[in-house]
Order: sequence, then C-alpha cells, then structure tokens
Amino acid sequence: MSLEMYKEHILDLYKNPHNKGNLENPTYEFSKNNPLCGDEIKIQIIAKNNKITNIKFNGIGCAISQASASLLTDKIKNMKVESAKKLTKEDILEMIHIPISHARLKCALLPLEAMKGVLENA
Amino acid sequence: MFGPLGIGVLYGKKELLEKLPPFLFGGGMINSVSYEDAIFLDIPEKFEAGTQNIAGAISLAEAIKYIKKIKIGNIEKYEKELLQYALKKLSEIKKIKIYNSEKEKSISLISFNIEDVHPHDVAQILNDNKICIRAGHHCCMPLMKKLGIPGTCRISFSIYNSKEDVDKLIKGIKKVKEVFKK
Repeated sequence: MSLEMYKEHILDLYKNPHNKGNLENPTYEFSKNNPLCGDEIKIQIIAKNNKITNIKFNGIGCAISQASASLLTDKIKNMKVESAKKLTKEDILEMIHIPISHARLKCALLPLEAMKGVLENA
Repeated sequence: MFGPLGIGVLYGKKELLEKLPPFLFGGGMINSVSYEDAIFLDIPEKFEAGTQNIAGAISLAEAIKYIKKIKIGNIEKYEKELLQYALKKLSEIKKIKIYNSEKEKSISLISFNIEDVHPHDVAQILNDNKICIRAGHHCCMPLMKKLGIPGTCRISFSIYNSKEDVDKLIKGIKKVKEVFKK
C-alpha cells in the first residue's frame, strides 16, 4: 500500500523542508524538470576549495521529491565535490528509506539528477 | 466511448477531403497506376492504404451500437446527476479548490486541488481507496503556469460510475487530508 510511502519523516520534510530557498551568490546552479509531471527543481551551491560549503534547492514538487531534495542537500552540505559526484540512486533510496513504486521513482531521483547537473561544472 | 484502442474517425467536409492528397500509399487505395500517373480511389478508400485495423473497426462499430442502445441523452443525464452530486459533496469539504467555471459545471469532469498537497500525492493515496483519478498538468502546462499550480487532480464520470463511487472519493479525500494535516 502506498501509505507506507507517506511515513512521518517524509511528511515532516514536505511540510518543513531543509535547505529550501535561494542563495544570493551561488557558484553553480542547475534546474531539472520531470517531464512526466512537470515538476521542476533548482539546486544552487557555493563551492570553495573543492568543497560544497552551502546549498539550497527550490521548486514545487510532490512529497517524495521534496523530501528527497531535503535529504540530499543535507547530505552533501560540507561534502567534497568529488564525493558528492559519486552519489547514486541507491544512496538516495537508502536516504529516503521508504518502499517506492516504479511510478514514483522519478520523483525521488529528480533532486539527484539536478545535483549531477550542478556538479558537472564544479 | 468504450471502444478499442488504435482506431479513430476522421470527420470532415466531403469537398475538402476530396481535395486532400493521400497521406499514405499502399494497397486498396488506387484506381489505376502507370509509369506516368496514378489515379486514387474516392474517399474514404483514398485514405485507407494497406491492411486495415479490422478488429478495431468491428469493435468500434459495436461500441457505437452500444451507445445508441443506451441513448446518448440518457448517458448525459446520468453523468450530470453524478457531477452535481460530486460537486455538492466536494464543496462541503474545506480547503478544496475546484477549477471548473460555471459553464464547465455541465460536463462530467471536475478539476480540483487540495490545499498544500501535490496532485500526485492525492492520486497516490486515492489509489489505495481504489479510486483512479488523473493527476498532473494534463498536457496543458501553459495553463498550469497561468494558474500558478503544478497541476490538478481530475475526476471524470461515465455510466459505470455510481454515487457510491463519489462517496468513496470523498472518503479518500478525507484520508489524504488526514495524512497531510499540519
């Protein structure tokens, strides 16, 4: 049942997202949209000496994509750029820690794809 | 209209269709062919090159017979009743926005959103209550942008739906609100 998807920690991050907003002087930024649902997410980072010192995301999305964005940005804040580049789909699934249906996988992975876009230039 | 997939009807003015060149060449659409020229059959054969979707055509004809038997006016009347019932029930729930204009309240389709809940999350939870709705931008992204929303939830009625289905929907929507309550 999909109600298992709407666990407390997911709903909590949807209502109170982490690192949501805009950075004034981002070093790099990238937007990625999910053509299936039209949701779009923008990720901005400040990178100094090959380290991500600050990160923000913005955009409208479902509970799954918003929670995934909060968890991912929490994870890579203060991470080395090279380490962040190595994050995979499996890392995201472990972070969100809910059974995810095939149809909603795209939602969970949208922030990761946006992050990959940001780091391509970093 | 309860028909099969992979078939449709091209409806147009006879004199204009006669002017249109064929879009596809193949068997069953020519009168005569020479090295210099080709004469095509009259409409509709001119547009029906190759092997036709036979099963599709027979099924579509059966679907039309079925609708004619029930009578389209009866279908319209029944769906309108369901629509009015659903609109009334939905308006009793707080934090629901209905996007149908007054004019659009006569077609058996309702677009709505629940405040602060993404349409795809609504659809996912309704699915648990065995209610299938469509959620998203409905191939209409510019309109969603104008409305300032990521998408809408959309329910539509047919003759196989009942007031009990609407009641299930309302129950499902209450469940969504409960899951997403602040």
